[in-house]
Amino acid sequence: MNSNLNSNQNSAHEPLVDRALMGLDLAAEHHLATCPCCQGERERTERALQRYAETEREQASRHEAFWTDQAARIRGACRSIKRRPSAAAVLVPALALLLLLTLELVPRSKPQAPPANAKGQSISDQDLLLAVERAVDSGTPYALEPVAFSIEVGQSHSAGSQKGVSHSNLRKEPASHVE
Amino acid sequence: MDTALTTPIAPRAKELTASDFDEVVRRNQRRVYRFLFMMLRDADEADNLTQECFLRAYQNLSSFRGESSLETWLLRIAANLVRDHARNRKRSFWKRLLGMDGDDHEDGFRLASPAPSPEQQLLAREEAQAVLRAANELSEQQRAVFLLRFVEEMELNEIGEVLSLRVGTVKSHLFRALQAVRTQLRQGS
Repeated sequence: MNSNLNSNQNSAHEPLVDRALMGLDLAAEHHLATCPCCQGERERTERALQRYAETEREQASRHEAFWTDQAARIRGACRSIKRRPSAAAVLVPALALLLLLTLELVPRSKPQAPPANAKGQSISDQDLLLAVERAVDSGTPYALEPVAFSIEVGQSHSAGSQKGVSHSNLRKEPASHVE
Repeated sequence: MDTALTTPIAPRAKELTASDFDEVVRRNQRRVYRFLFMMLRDADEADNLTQECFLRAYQNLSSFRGESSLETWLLRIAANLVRDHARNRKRSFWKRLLGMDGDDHEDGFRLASPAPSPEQQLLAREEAQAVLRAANELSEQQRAVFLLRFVEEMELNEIGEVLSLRVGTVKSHLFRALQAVRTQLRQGS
């Protein structure tokens, strides 16, 4: 039996044989089931491919000692090198370091108040306290003097009508804290 | 003895210990070597690149995400090594031109186990030689597709993963390879 496709069938049937050999096509399989010529071509090609594959496998086969030796060489080579760390293992510390450097190097948006200001503030507070103390020592706080004056004027009028007090005694003398 | 190549290895490859990796080597070294040998037709180069392939795999285990099988991943590394090797060979064109590196692919291709009768043996030898001639005339990528399909008996999607090709491209390469094979067979007969 001549299993080759004849020249008339070549152009029409060859793609079907190829598609069937690739194992993809139901239509090609259906055609081959009903076409003895294509069946023969397929069988011949399959046989040749199988023979070729067997030969290739046999060509690449080696003695067991070869594989043992190769595995030992691979093992030795692997142990002499280190595995590359994963991308995450490299990137995370690098990003953390970059963030720290950025925070350290970028100038802060709010400049700190110089220490001299803090000192000045404490001095100012002390002055204020001293002023308050002086005002208290003087008897009447300066801001309340008009009120105190009007009260005393009222009191002196009522007393003056009784005893005849002079205006020179209207201002209250500062009380001494030290007896 | 063929290896248990389809046995899945734990996908969390980054957790593999050195002894686990020895097992990966033992299971896959034959297939990786065979693929490299078929592509390069040079036993020493295939041996060197097999070692290189596993070394690269070991170094880059952390990048293996388990999306494909470990053996597919290893064959992908091997395919990349073949590509690099082909580039290097192009660079050493002048060296080859001066006859310092001669290799005849067909000379080393001897028929596997003999057929029962001398006629059948002869026919089988001729057919296998015709396929080999056709395979050698294919482009590197077409040959890789052809070998992975018909020698390694891989599925089309697996071939696509190994060679980083779409299934449609794999089919196209395979179709052309088969046409070339059958043309050679017809000429042989």
